[in-house]
Order: sequence, then C-alpha cells, then structure tokens
Amino acid sequence: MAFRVVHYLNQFYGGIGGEAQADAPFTVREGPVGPGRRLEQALGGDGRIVATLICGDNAFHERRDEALAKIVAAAREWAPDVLVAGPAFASGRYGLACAAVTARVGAELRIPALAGMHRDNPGAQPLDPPIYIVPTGETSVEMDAALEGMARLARKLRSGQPLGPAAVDGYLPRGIRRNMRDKRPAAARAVDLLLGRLAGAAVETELPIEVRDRVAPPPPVADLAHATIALVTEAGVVPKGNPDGIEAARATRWARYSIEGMERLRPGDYESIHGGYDNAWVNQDANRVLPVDALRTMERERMIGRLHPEYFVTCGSIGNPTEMRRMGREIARELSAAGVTAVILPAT
Amino acid sequence: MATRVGANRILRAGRFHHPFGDPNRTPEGEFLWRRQVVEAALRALAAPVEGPTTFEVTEYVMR
Amino acid sequence: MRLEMPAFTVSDLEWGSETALAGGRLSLNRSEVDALVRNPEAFASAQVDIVRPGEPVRLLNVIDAVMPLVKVAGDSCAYPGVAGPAVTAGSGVTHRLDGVSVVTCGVPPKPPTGAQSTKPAFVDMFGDAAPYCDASDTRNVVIVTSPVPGLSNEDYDSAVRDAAHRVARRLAETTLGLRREPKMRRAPDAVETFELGPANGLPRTVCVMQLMDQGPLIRTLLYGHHLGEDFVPTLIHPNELLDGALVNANHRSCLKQSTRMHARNPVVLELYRRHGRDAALAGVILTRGSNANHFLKERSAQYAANLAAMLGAEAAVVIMEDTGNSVTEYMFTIRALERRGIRAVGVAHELAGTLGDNSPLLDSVEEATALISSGNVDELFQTGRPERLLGGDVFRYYSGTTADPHGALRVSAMECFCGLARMAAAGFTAVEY
Repeated sequence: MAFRVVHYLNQFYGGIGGEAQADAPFTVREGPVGPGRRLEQALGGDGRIVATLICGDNAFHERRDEALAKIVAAAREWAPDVLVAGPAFASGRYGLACAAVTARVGAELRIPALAGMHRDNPGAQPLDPPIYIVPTGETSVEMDAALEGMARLARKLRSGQPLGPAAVDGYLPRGIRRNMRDKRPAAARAVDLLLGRLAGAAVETELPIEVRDRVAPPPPVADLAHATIALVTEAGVVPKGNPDGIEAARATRWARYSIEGMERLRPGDYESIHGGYDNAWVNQDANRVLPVDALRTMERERMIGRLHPEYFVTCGSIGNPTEMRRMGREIARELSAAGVTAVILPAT
Repeated sequence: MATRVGANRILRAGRFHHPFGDPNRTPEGEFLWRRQVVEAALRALAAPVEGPTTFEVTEYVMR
Repeated sequence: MRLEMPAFTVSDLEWGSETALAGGRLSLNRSEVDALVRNPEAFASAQVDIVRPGEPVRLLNVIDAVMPLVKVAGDSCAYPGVAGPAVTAGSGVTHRLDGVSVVTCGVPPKPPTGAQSTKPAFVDMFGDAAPYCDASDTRNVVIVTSPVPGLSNEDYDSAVRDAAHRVARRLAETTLGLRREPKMRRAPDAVETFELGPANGLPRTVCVMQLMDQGPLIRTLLYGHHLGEDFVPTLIHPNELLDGALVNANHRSCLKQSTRMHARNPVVLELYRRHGRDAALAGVILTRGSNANHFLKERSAQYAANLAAMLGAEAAVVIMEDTGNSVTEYMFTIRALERRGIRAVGVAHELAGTLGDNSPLLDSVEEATALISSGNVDELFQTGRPERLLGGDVFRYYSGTTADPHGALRVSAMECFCGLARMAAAGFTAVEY
C-alpha cells in the first residue's frame, strides 16, 4: 500500500496567489496541489499525497507559533507517514517556513520529514536537531529535478534503511561527520589533490574549514571605579580535589567557586587539572593564574568597584570549539545576569 | 591564536603556565609585577578597540 | 643518493630449531631470541611470543613496532644512531623483511602524569579494531618486559628499544646470502630502488612532516637523538627515512607513528612513486609540534616554508603526528607555505566528538583550503573479544579510566596503537551526513 504524504506549500505554489496574497491564512486541501501532483508522480505509486497544507508566507511569519500549532494539528488529522515541505528554491521566507514545518511536524508526529530548497536559502541554516533538506536550484525552472530528489529521499526515509552520506543520498550536510573507508589511503588522495591544484583544477577539500567568530567589541568600561570585574579561566584551576570533576582534556564541564572575602587564593587550597601545560607553578600559587590578591588591593584602593564573588573555570586542553562555545554562552549568561561589568580571562 | 579566534582585547602577559605570575621574582616582587599586569588588563578594558587588539604591559617594576 | 632495497616477504613465522628464512617461512630459535632480549640490569621479566594477523590476541601497553632492516652495502647501518653509528644513511643496499614486526610491550617504572603523561595503547590482531592498530597486519615477535625495581623511565625506555633493535636486526640478517643460494632459499620478492633521478619540468614537491617531541618518554629520535624543545625545521633525504633515520621513542602511543611507520611513511613512498612521472620529490622537511608559544610556532612554520622555497618547491604535502596545540603550528605551516606561493595539501585527523557533531578541527587557517581527512578519531567502534592477552592485564582508555581487557570494548582510535596515523594509512575519512 502506498505510504501517506502530507505536503506543505506557501500561497504561491498552493495556487492562492503571489506576493499580494502572502497574508493568506492557513488552509488545508485534500490531495495534491500544484507541484504536489508532480511530486506524487515522482513517488511512482509508492507514496500518495493525502493532503496539502497551505499558508501565506506573511501569515506564517507574523504568527509563527500559532501557524505551526495549526499545521501540526492538521497534519496529525491526516495521519501521514512522511511530511514533505516545498521546494522553496531561493525564497527566504518560504524556506524558513518549510524548515520550521519540517522540524516541528517531524518531531511531534515522529515521522520522517524533509524540505527542499537551495543551499543558500536562509532556511537551510543548520538546525538543532538537524533536519533533512534536499538541495534544489535557485528557481522553479529546476522544479522537476527538485521534486525527483525529494521523492527519492522521501522513499528512502520511509523505507527505514539507514541513510548514506549527504552527497550520496542527496540531502544537505547536517553538520554530522561519520567515518568511512576510502579504497585509497590518505597519502594517495593527498598527492592527487595536490596535483589537481597544480593543474588548476577545481579541487574539493575533504574537510572544509570553519569560519571563525567575529564578535563586535563591547564598548570600553567607562567607570572602572564602579565596575564589577569577574575572573573566568580555561586554566583548569580548581579547589583541590576537583570537586566538580572538570575533565583534564576535551572538557565538557565548567564550574564556579566562591572567592568571597578571600584576600588571596591560599597556596595548597587550589590545583590545576589542565592536561596541556606544566601545572607546577600554578599549583604553588594559584594567584599566578587568577590574580585575586592583586585585585583585592585594587578594590580597597577604589581602582575597581569590586571583584565578582565567584570565579568561573573550565579546562581548555584540546578543547572542542563547539563545547567551548556552549560553555562560553552559559558562563556569559551567568555573568550578565549577575550584573558583571567586565571580565579578565587568564589563558594558559 | 587569541587574535585569530576573534578576542578583541588581548593582553600579552606572563608565560602560558602562569599568565599572572613570574616565579623568577621574589614573592614581593612577583606580587608588584602581578599588580602591574592587572592594571594593564584594566587599561585594556577601558580602551576603545575596533577589532582584535593586543595590549602590552608597558611599565614593569624592576626585579 | 641511491638506495637499493631488496624486500623479503615473510608469510609464516614460527618457533623452530634455528633462526632462518626459507621460502617465506621465518623460523626462530627461541633460546637465541631470548638471549637477545635478556637484560637483567633492566628487565625483571622478559617474555617473547609470536602472534599472527587474525589470531584472537590483544596486545596491551604496546610501545613500538620495528621493521627488520639490515644494511648490506653502504657506509651506514639501518636505524643509524640507535642500532649503530649516526652515519648518514640512505645509500647502498638495505635488506628489508616485509610482513613481520618486532613489537615491544611494557609499562615504564613511574608513568608520568599531567602534561607529560604517557598514554598506553593496544593492538588487536583480529576483529574490527585491527584496521585502527599498527602492526595488526604483520606477523609479530612480541617482547613483553617489566623493569627491575629502581630503574628510571628513560633507562627502561632505551633498554626496550635496544632489545627490539637487536631482535629486528637478527631477523633481517636471515636474508643475508639468500641471493647467493637461490636454489636453496628464495630470492627477494621485490627489489625497490630509491633514487631521485631527473624529473625536469615536473612540479617540485616536498613532504613537510611534523613530528612529536615533548619531553621525556614523548620523543622522536633523529639519528638516535631526540629532536628537543629548541628544534628548528630541518631537511632530510627521503632515503634516510627509508633506512630508519627516525625512530619512535614516544609513549603517547595513539598519537604517534611507530618506528616501522617512520621507515615506510606512506606520503614519502607515494611521492617517490610519483617522482619522475607526475612530480619531482625535492626532499623532506622535518618540523616539531608542541612548540611552547606563538612565537616558536610561527618561527617553526616560517622556517619550514623557507626551506621549501629554497628547495624550489611549488607544492607540499603537510602531515603531522599528535593533536591538541600541535594543530596550531601545523596550520601555521600550511599558511606560511601558501603565502610563499607553495601550494599545500594537508592530511588532518578530525576531533568531531563521538557523535561526529562537533567542530572537527581544533584550529585552522583560511589558507587550509585543501585538506584530506583521515577520519574522526573520536568515533566509537566495537572491538572483538580476545582469547589471549599479552603485555598487561588492565585496559586503559585515553581518558585514564580502565576496563576489563578481556572484553569486547567500545573504543576510539585514541586507544589504538598509532591510531591516528593508522587511520590515514588505512584510508579512513569522514563524510557529512
């Protein structure tokens, strides 16, 4: 028996009208509409579109939560086996709606879900958890190829077979990397890649490098004498015994420890668990990383308003950027909520 | 590395084993030196920058 | 510099009445081998075993794997500086035994902790872990030793190395005279000749090889002496490497290359194969990772790029041992080469987490636009269940936690002997899902 598909479209592809109709409220049509007919053909009898959910792009984004709730409820009524959204090609608002519908309906109905759009569509940004997006051309000129690809992936997802790599099974990379074995060792591939570059060929790296963060610098501290200064470090300096079990390398944990009322970090009370540098000097005197003693004198002299009563610590050894970014965000939230003005981050 | 990851105010301090320490000094000398490094950090916090900028500890106390 | 290398393939390894090679069968006289290993001043115990690929055997605390080489003609010796004088190697005739390794296992007397900590590693001769472990695909003479009380880490380390090289040399010596008696015994299975002949008009290419040398027990030996913390990139002829100029003395065993891997570096061999056909191999540049600060990392990168430029290179394959902060000078080196107009391709391992959803590189530069991935070294896999253990009775993960070594375990390449380099050699790569 053919599996049941629910298809999501915007007002344009749903046959209601163009940009002038972008406020069109959410409606449901039984069976396929517009590109849905060709999608059903591409499914070749394996799948049948039981209903088409249509929402104007403005209507969706202006009341996103409400629209999503209605879409999930409507989808549930049609008991689909698979949800398909789009293709949205390069249309940003439509693409974002398709991605949101795919994520939400897939998660709530626990069914395979996929969208189609161009890889540069804002809706194709990685989501957490990731969703399946079939890459398409930029415009509806590429409609047939897009629907073929979406039908292929829908069938594969429905089959329950594990999916192959993104490039093989025709979806956009979801930020998950898995190992496979190439017939040729790294050395042979490396020399080929090099010779390809020398020959001026468009070669493809196996490991795209990440674009680094650029953070707009915060304005200077205007009035140090009234500022609250906090200490945050990746140096792995913790109370002796490492009470929170921060890992010596590849850390996933951070902790906060009170320094309230302390003139200095007392020798013997602290140690560094960081696995990437010689800890002997900081184990002798933790103020060499966290200058509590110096900041206390400055506090008394009104050079600073006060030293924040807790310091924050993790361990940067072989730190993974993804984990570090998460911990940075979590610590920043705490600092911000506590009204800290500025932070000194001793790095090792 | 701090520049490349986009840190905006970077202070060149002690060795990475002890950025706010200098074990070669006497305990008193090390404390005074540490205060100077912290003062330089505060100056950096109070300085306008447009992107990753490296600050130096300009006046070291004598050993 | 011309090196002729007759290779003799060992297809069977067994104990026998005499130590001899015949028809691909290498037999060993046990008491002769025991005598080569015996060193009462260093070893409280020493046990020698034979293991073969596919046998349900797990080797624990593996220190090194040495390929048997013996110099037959030429001024130097194989493994110069370790197994003989530090005379420039790479010319003459060296016999090589393929398909067999001398493997050492043991634990240093006082394993260091913290930044200098050692990392034990295992070899499964069978099952799904084998492709991740160096020496899983050779017949191995396994030497398991324990130190006498009071021995220093360094003395134990060199005693183990000496024992391995004595045995390896003896094994290789079974090939001597084989060519004179072709009726009695087999001639070499292949004779490779390594000489950088004319390759005019082809792109001059270097291999830039970043090595690991971080202090006691985390060493790579160049002509018998460790690189040292002040190492400045230097130049070496590929033939010197093929003769064993680099020897492993590194107990952080997942991150390194074994002595056997140094002597058969896949990139050096690949560039040699392409020499005169697609490219001109201009030389090998050795660099060191783990430089203590930004200045030294950048100095190392600049120096390596300058050596490449002085060799007239227009292309480079850049490879590395280790991980962590060594990724930084590795990336600096790629950047420095590219800025000198030398096209660089890197081979990089990924640290993408057990699920593969973390950032794969600890550090990177914009110029690293052509990287080969040797796979995500964090990805977990299941080992088989061994029937026999050699070399210890505790399984230690990279993180330091322990497990019953008799079990089928969930591990990553970070537990495997030369796991990172081995993944590259075995063709692993990571792809997007």
